[in-house]
Amino acid sequence: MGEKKEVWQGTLALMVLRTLELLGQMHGYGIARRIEQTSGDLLSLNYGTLYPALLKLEQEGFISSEWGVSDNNRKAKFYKLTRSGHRHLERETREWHETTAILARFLEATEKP
Amino acid sequence: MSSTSSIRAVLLRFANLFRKRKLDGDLSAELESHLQFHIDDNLRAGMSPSEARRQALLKLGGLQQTTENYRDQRTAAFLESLWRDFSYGVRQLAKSPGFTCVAILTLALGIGANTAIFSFVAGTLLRPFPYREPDRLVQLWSSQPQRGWIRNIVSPSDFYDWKKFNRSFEDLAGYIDVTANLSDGHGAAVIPGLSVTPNFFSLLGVTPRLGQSFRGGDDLPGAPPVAIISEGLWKQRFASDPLIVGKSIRLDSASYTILGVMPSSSVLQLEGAATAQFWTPYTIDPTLERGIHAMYVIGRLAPGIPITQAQQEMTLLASDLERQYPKSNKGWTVLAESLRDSLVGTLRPVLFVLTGAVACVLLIACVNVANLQLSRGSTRQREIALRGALGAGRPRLVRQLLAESFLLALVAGALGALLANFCVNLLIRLYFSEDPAYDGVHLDARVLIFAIAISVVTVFLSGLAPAFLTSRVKLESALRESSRSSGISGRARRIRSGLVAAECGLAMLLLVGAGLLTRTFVALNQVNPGLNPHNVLTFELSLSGSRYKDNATRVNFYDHFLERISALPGVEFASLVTRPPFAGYNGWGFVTSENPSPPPDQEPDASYQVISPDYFRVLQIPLIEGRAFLPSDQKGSAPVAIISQITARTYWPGKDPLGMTLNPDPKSFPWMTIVGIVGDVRRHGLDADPDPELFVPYRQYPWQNTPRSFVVRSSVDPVSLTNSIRHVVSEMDSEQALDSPRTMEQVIRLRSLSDRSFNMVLLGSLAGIALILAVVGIFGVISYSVTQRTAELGVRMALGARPADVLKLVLLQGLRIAAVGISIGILGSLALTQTMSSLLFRVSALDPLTFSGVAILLVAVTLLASYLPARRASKVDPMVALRYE
Repeated sequence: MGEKKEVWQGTLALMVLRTLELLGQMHGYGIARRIEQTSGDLLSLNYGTLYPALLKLEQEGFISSEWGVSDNNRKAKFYKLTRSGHRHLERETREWHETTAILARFLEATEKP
Repeated sequence: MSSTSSIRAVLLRFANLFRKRKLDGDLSAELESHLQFHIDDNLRAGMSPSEARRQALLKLGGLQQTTENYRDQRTAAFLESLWRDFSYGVRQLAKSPGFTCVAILTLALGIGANTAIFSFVAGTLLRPFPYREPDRLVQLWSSQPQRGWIRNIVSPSDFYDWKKFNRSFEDLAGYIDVTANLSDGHGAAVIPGLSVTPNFFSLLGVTPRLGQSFRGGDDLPGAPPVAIISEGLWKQRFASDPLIVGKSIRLDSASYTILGVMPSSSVLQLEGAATAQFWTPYTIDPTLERGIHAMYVIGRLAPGIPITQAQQEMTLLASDLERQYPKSNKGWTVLAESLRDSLVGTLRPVLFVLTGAVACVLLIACVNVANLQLSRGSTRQREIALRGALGAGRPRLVRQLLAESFLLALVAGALGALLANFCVNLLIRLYFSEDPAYDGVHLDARVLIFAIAISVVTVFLSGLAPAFLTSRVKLESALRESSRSSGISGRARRIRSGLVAAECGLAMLLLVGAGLLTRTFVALNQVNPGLNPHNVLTFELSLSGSRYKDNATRVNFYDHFLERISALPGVEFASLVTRPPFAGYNGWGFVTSENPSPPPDQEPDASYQVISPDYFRVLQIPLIEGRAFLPSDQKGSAPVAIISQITARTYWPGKDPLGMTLNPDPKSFPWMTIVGIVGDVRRHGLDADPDPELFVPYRQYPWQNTPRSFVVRSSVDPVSLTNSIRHVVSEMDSEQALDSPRTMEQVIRLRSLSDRSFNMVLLGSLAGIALILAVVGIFGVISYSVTQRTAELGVRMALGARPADVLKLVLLQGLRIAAVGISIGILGSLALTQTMSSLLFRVSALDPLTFSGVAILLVAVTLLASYLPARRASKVDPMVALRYE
């Protein structure tokens, strides 16, 4: 797994929110797998870091959780976006686009002689 | 993230601190379910069950660590781990009780001494001025430098001229210290007060708590009598009556209307004004002679005028007055001194020495603790390496050390505060025993916090050393190394020895200072005051009221009074006197028959004492020649006088003054014949040379201003006489009161020894603490080094070294440290004791006896501190030592 990229600090929360927006409701393991799959297995996620991130989002009120039963009849804790989580995701996405756009322009400009 | 969501997060995290157990269960269930999902996937991918579980655990990054990370997020992890750091610190400190006790006691001593002395100094010497713009306030003195009178009180007539003609000052005010008999339903008492010009309070910028200040016309002759009283008097005598303004107070049997109450914060720190309990307007007396100096003068500089300019103007003004009134003003000039300099100036060397000493003690305490920490360093180093290997991050390690330092310093701070409180109370009892209600000194919280902060920093930094040193050492090797061969021990030992040597140097500095002050004190005590103060009581009795306006009535009263108290059991002799010894100078000029009209600035001058015949017998002042006064020296008989030896030598050099005549003012006085010469008495203090004195018998005394002090020699404890004498006074006139009863020994102590003993006791105790701490330091270093060198010593003994050789080896190590310390101390003392030369008396600041005595003391103490570890070293069993690992 040496060639895979680690998840950048601070982007994990955004990925989690986006995943939950798409999936509606999912448990921790499902979220982790989904993130890896979406990245085309280019990202390596240390599952151990996911749970503190989930907890932080929950403490901030962007997601909520409850215990439930999965498709294969396993007990699991399911997470879903709250209303403020939706708004937060929108805002964060916009900011992310702006940031990357600026950075892209910046990097292009410096490459010209 | 919006701010509301982050606040919400923080609150939740705090709340979670208290729900730990339930949340832990929740988490492990969730992680367990996560693992199950993953294992299922892995099984589907074809792994063996054990491999599936292993991979799943790996990917989760370790259950324990995940749980730990999760917990960090869940609660205010910082707080939680801080709590853990503290409890770990407590356990760590409890594990080495020796270290902990010594460190805490050392720091407590340092913190306590610092806080106590700074609080005391701040409360006594450095009280802030309660005045408006105090930097513009100036004290003005009359000055005759050629006669050595630098700060003399001012003639009221001069004062009015200064006030009228100067341009440098916004205003000038004068005040005279007085006392009055306060009589009311509760009995009579003598209280100190000030007679002030009406602008006195407005010039200082203090306002009354109740009522108002003096008004413009209050000082005119014939104005209705008014008074302002102090808050203290208001509380004591008037039960804090809120309607006091407009009521009356009886002072010296006259009634005054109370205008206002001055707050105690305005207790005036002016020369001669500190204890005033009432203020009355000074009434202009145009008939008062210009030559009579009676008044203190203060001024407020006009805005923007520097004091140097004011001084120049006042000097010119004084020479104008000198030309205009040559008889009274010849030789007199003016000294303008900023109030702050005037009050704090003389204290500066004391402050400097004390502050330096206190700082030294705190420094020594910190050095000591640093030393102890370093001694623990090598053990700590392994512990820290171990904790690092187990995954503690550097910030976490630092935080843990910080927590430990805090614990040490806080416990020490608490102990130190107790100690400081005790010391401050002790100091107050020692130095304000005259004034039990004195409440100007409080523990200074700022100083306490500062001292604790310094201790935290010291403990922390010295605790950090092993942590930093560890970073250079490979964890593994640090773990494997034993304390004996630890890589840092050589350097650390050198650092420690250096620190202890510095500590010895500081202790030496303090000891030299204390030694010099002690020698001063001893020298002062050896000074012959010229009298025998043992079993002598002094007190004052000023007769107030219109009944005693007449001189004859007063003489009559005093005659009776002296007769009655002389008859009291236990009283041997009693006499009255203008001013008893050590109560200051009462100088008047006179002329002699040989030289009846000297130029005004060369007129002979002596302290006049009006006395009754038994005065010399009461104080046991030796009669050198001629006779003492007799009861027959009274009104109508030939006027006589007695002079002291210095008077004789100064004004009748080479002649026998017996039978010669002198006269204070030939226009209105008869010539007095000198009938006796007595021994000299020190009037100012033990460190001041005796002044010329001139005695006249009170029955011949022709002036209005009769004496009011008494001296009584007793065969019993003089204090026990106070009540019976009080009783006599109230029997003779219930409106009169006895004032300031003190034994002569108290007077001497108060007047001339108290400052010195104050300095000596303070510096002495600081030096003592420093010495103790230095001993602890030496002991610590030597005994630690003996422990470290056990194996080496064992080898030496196995190779034939005798116990005596080992003893010598270790003692020499201690002595080397002491020698370096003593050299540092001597150099420091040479540089610094000069600053205290003004505090010394008959001792040089470089007194070789003190220096060598202190050096010997330090060597002796070092030997003592090294002896115990040295003896332990000499008893090392070589076999045990070699196996010691």
